[in-house]
Amino acid sequence: MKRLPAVLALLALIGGALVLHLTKPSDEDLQGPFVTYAGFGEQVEGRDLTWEAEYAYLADRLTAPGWTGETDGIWLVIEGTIGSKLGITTPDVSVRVGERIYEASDRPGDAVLGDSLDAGLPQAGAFAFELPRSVLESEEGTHVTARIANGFRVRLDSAIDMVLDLTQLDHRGTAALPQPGMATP
Amino acid sequence: MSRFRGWARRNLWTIVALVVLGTASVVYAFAFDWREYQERTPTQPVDVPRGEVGTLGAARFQVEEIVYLEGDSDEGRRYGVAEGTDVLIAGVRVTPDPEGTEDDYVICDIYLHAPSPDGEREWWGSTSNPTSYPGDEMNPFSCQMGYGPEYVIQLYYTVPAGGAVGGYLQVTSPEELPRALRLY
Repeated sequence: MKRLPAVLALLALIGGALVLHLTKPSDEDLQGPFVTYAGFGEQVEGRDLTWEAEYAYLADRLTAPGWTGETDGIWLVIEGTIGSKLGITTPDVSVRVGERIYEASDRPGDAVLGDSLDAGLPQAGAFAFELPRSVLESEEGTHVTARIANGFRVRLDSAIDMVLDLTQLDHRGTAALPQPGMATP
Repeated sequence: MSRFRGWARRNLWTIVALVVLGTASVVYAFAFDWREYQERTPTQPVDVPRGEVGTLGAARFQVEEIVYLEGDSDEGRRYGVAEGTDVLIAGVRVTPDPEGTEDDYVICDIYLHAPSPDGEREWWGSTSNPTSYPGDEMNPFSCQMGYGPEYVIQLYYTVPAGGAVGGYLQVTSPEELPRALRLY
């Protein structure tokens, strides 16, 4: 009986350690980004980036001066205004569909956003993503996440996410990309 | 309470050792990153008032001319500065190391820094003249301070309207970090 308190204390310690182990933060929690979620028509800020989405749509074909973008898949276009708060930066913009990640296409060249941004001088235009057509019929297509960040693998830095349901977006045959340009600072 | 004091007194040296070792572990874990940060960023800037000459390594730097064109002014519109922006044109006289040779090619960067509500902002100069203001059409991307005759480098910084107020030109060279010059 004299050892009972010690045994109980030991069991309590083991139980506490087990609870700690089961509730400890995951690597994603410890190393992952600080995410800010964006909607349409509202400006959101990360540590160094600002973003305001205006519109998103799907298109079978994109056009820009001197360029026509044919694809076997489908184009996802997100129009908006992106800015840098503190210094020159080249944002990384991607779309996650399930486990697959698609980087913003550079096929349209100067007709899309993606060049370096100077502090306080936001750019308005569009990002275009070339996706397989099958995503429109998949469950994953209803919950697609577009991410805007300072790098591809964001560790302990901010990221701006937009959740899109591709099945609810306008679907155009041919769409003209807006010419990127400086937005009102 | 007296039981705790008794326990603490009996284990005094163990507690002291744990505190010392814990503190030393934290210092050791961050010492490398702290030293890297201190040595690879311009943490030792020297302020150089307008009209004076600053020395970085064996090279000398002096602001020769600053022109500030506001896009929302008649002058800015005349020179084609975009609405909502200002263009700061800086002429910086660079006197490279007088004892340098052609093997001593040392680059330096001149960035514009200015305060803002979000924190200090930084702009890189453009290599081409974004205005019709008279000046060099093209400039080198970075300056050279290792050898050669002195020269004036003209740099163009496009900033949001009013963004350059209270700013300075920061001169750095990878060879000289963490030292840097702040030309006002």
